Amino acid sequence: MSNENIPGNIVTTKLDKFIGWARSYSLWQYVFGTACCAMEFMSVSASHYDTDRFGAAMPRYSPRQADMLMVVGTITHKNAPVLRRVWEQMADPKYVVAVGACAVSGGFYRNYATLQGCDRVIPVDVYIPGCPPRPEMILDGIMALQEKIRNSKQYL
Amino acid sequence: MAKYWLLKDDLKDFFKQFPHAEYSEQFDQPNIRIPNADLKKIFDFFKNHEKYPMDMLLDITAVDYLTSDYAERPNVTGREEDLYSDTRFDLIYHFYSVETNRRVRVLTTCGGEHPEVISSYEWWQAAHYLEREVWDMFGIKFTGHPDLRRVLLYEEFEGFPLRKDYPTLGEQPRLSLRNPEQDNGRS
Repeated sequence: MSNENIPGNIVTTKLDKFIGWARSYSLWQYVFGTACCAMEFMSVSASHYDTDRFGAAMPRYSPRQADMLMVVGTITHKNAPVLRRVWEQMADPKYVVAVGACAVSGGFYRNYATLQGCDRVIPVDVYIPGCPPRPEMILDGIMALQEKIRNSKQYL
Repeated sequence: MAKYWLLKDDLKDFFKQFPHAEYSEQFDQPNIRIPNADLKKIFDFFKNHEKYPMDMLLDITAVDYLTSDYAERPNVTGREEDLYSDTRFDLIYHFYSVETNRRVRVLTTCGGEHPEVISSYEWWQAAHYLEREVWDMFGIKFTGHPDLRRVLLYEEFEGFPLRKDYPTLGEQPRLSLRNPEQDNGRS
């Protein structure tokens, strides 16, 4: 908000807005890729579609350095404790994006082996449907998450 | 057409030695059905076959022939004898002779309260994982296997999911599951 009573190149804003703006454009991601969606996800993060344009380009190989957990693919009951541990290792603030039908709801797997959506073990912020989702949908999901971060209360 | 399978004519010596074996053909492929008491001799026979030594075990798998709606109707009476029937499971072996490029398929049955057959690990070490997988999914025990435990599922899993009497939705979660509709707020 520019203010004519304040001279010079000074802009005022709310702390929440400011921190949210900063956080939303510096999403370091941990990609928990388990299935075919992860193959599709490669093209999203590579230069053709390029998540870097949206400030979410840094894949981290340690959950301790990541802000955003992307669950890309089917989660089985066998694998669920691993996902849970990865999420627990992330430092706050942390966000979770479920990519693809399987991560969202179990997809077409309904049997003894498959977890019916990763939100059964960790809280999810953004759900991206599709089998697999189009790259545009994943980018749209990232933008939706950024929107959500910018408009939420920031915990310090 | 190139030959990939050992058909009846190639197996004359086999049927001389095992006259009780049943032979049939499907899609130009042979099915040799034998009683599971003969398995040991069969392994010896094919492993040391003069013309086509089967030096490679391609696959071991099983089929459960219990009526498929059993899990949905467990209280139906008169089915208990099906559960422990001696012919409930088919066990299917595929052998391959690398040198001569010939395959052969051997089928046998097993069943009872605790299905058990002899392990082929002594003849083909590839059987290690294959038999563990059959144990994991069907609960067929292989005597003589050096380390028979689950390979795909987790240790705590109870039951054998590819058996027809295992419930289709028999999930066994390792964590207590959240209810996403109730607590999807900030953790």
